[in-house]
Amino acid sequence: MTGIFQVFLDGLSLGASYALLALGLTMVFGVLGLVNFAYGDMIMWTAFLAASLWAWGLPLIVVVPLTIIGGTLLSLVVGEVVFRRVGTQNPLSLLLVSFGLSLVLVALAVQVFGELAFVFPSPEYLSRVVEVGGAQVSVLSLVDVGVAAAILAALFLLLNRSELGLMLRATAENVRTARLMGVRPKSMVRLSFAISGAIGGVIALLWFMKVGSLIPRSGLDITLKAFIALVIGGLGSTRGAVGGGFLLGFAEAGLATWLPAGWRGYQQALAFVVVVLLLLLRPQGIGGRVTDTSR
Amino acid sequence: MPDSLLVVEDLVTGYGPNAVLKEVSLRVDAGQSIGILGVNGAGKTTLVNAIAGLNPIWSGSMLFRGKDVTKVGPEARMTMGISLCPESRQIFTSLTVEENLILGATPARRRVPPLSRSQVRARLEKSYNRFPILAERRNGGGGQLSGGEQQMLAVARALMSAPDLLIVDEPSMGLAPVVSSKVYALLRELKSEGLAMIVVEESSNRALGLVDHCLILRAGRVVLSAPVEELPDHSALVEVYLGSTRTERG
Repeated sequence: MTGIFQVFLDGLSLGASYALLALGLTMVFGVLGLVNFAYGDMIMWTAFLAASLWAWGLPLIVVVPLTIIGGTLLSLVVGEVVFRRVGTQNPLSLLLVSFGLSLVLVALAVQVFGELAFVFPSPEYLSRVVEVGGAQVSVLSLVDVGVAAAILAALFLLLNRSELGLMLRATAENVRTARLMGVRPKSMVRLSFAISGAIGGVIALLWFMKVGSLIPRSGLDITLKAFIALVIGGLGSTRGAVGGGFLLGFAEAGLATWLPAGWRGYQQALAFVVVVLLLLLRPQGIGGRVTDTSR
Repeated sequence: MPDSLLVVEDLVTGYGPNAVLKEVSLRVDAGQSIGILGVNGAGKTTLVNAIAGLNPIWSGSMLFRGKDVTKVGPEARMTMGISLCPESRQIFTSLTVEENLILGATPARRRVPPLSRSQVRARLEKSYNRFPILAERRNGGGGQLSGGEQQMLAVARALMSAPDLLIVDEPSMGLAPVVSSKVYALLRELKSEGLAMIVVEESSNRALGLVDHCLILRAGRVVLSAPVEELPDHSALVEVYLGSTRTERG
C-alpha cells in the first residue's frame, strides 16, 4: 500500500511540473495556434538567468521574482520580435519558426555558456526528505505540487472569473468574432505570451532545482515532455493540458517503480508507448473535442 | 436632411487580388433601417464585413457619426457604436450564454465614459427580460442552443454594447419559417425603439416588410437603391433579382 502511495506522490510531483509545462505551451497554442517548440529552450535561458542571479549572491526571495519577470520578458520579446513578424495566418510557418528559434537559442547558449554542465543551485532545505503517510518525499516535490496548485487556481480564476479571461477564451475560439466584441487580438497574444513566460520562469526554477544541473541542450527534454502532455490532454484544452501532465507524471512514476530493473532504461520510451496507446483509444486527447466537420 | 449615421462612398474591397465590391455607396440615417439584398455571391456579407472593419477598405471612404473610420479596425468601430451579428451567428460555443452576453458588452466597457459593471448587469437583466429563453439557458453552453436561440443570442449579444447601428447578416438563414418570424418580430421591435439597422438577406419578402430603404447588390455593384415605398412592384424587383441570378449562374 505504501508503495502505491509512494508512486502517487512521485507521480503527483512529476505531474505538477508537466502540467505547468503543458499549460505554458497551451496558453500560446490556444490564442495563436502555435506549438512553440522553442518553449523548453526559452525555459533553459530563464534557468541560466536564475543561475546567474544566484551566482551573484542574490537571495532566493529576490531570485524567484526576477526569474519570473525575466521569463515573462523573454516570452514577450520572442512573441513580438519573432512570432508577430510571421503573422498569425499560417500555423505551419509559425511551427517552423519555432524550430528555427529553438536552434538559435541553443546555439547562442552554447556560445555564451559553453557545453559543460552548470550546477543549478538549490537551498539545502528543499532537498530534505520528509515522510508523508509512510512514503518518502522531498520538500522540493511538495513545493512543486503546492506551486502548481496555486498557479492552476490563479489561472482558473483568471480564465473563468475575469473579463480578461473571457476575452482570452473568446480569442482562442474565434479571433474574427472576438474582434467584433471589441477584443484586441494583439493584446490577447501578448497576454498569452506573458502568462506562458511567467509559467516558464516558475518551471525554470522548479525543474532545474530538481535536476540539479543545466546545459544549453536541456530545453529539448522539457519541450518533449510539454508536448506529450499537451497531446495527451488535447491541443488547446487547458483542463486537458493539466490532466495530460499529471497522467504523464503518474505513468513515469509507475513505470520507474514497477518495471523490472533491466527495463528501467526504457522507462521514457514506455511512457511514450502509453501515450500512443491512449491516443489510439482517444485521438483527440483526454480534454480535446472531436471536430464536427459536418456542420 | 437628417443627420447621417453612416456614409459609405465608392467602397472597393475584396479578397486576395480580386475586388468583390466595386464602388458601393450607401447611407444610413439615425433610426433608419436599410435592407441589403442580393443573390448568393453578390457581395452582401463582404459589404457588411467591410462596414464592421473585418474586411479592409481598398478605396473609397466610410464616415460613422461624421468621423472618418475608413482605416479604423473592427474593435474601434464596435467601440464607436457599430455592432454586427455575423453570418451564421458565430456564437462562442466554449462560453456559456451569459459569458457570450457579457463579452458583447466589451465595446461599451471601452467607451468614454465606460459602462460600469453594474450597468453591464443591468443590460444583462434587460436582455433576459427581452429573451426569457436565454435567461433559462444562461449557464448552458452557447453551442447547445438551437439555431433560433443562437440567433436570439447573437442579437442580444450585439445589443449588449448599446450600439447606434445594428447590422444583422442573414437573420433567417437556416431557420424554420416560424422561428424566422420570431426573429423578424424582434427586429421590428428594435426598429420601433429607434435603433438604426442594416439587415442583409437573400430572400427579399421578410426584409422588405421591415426596412425603410432597399439596396440590391449584383456582382459587387449596387443595381438598385431606393426607399421601400418607391420600389417597383414586387415582380419588377424579382426581375432585377432573378436577372442577377441568371447572369451569375449562366
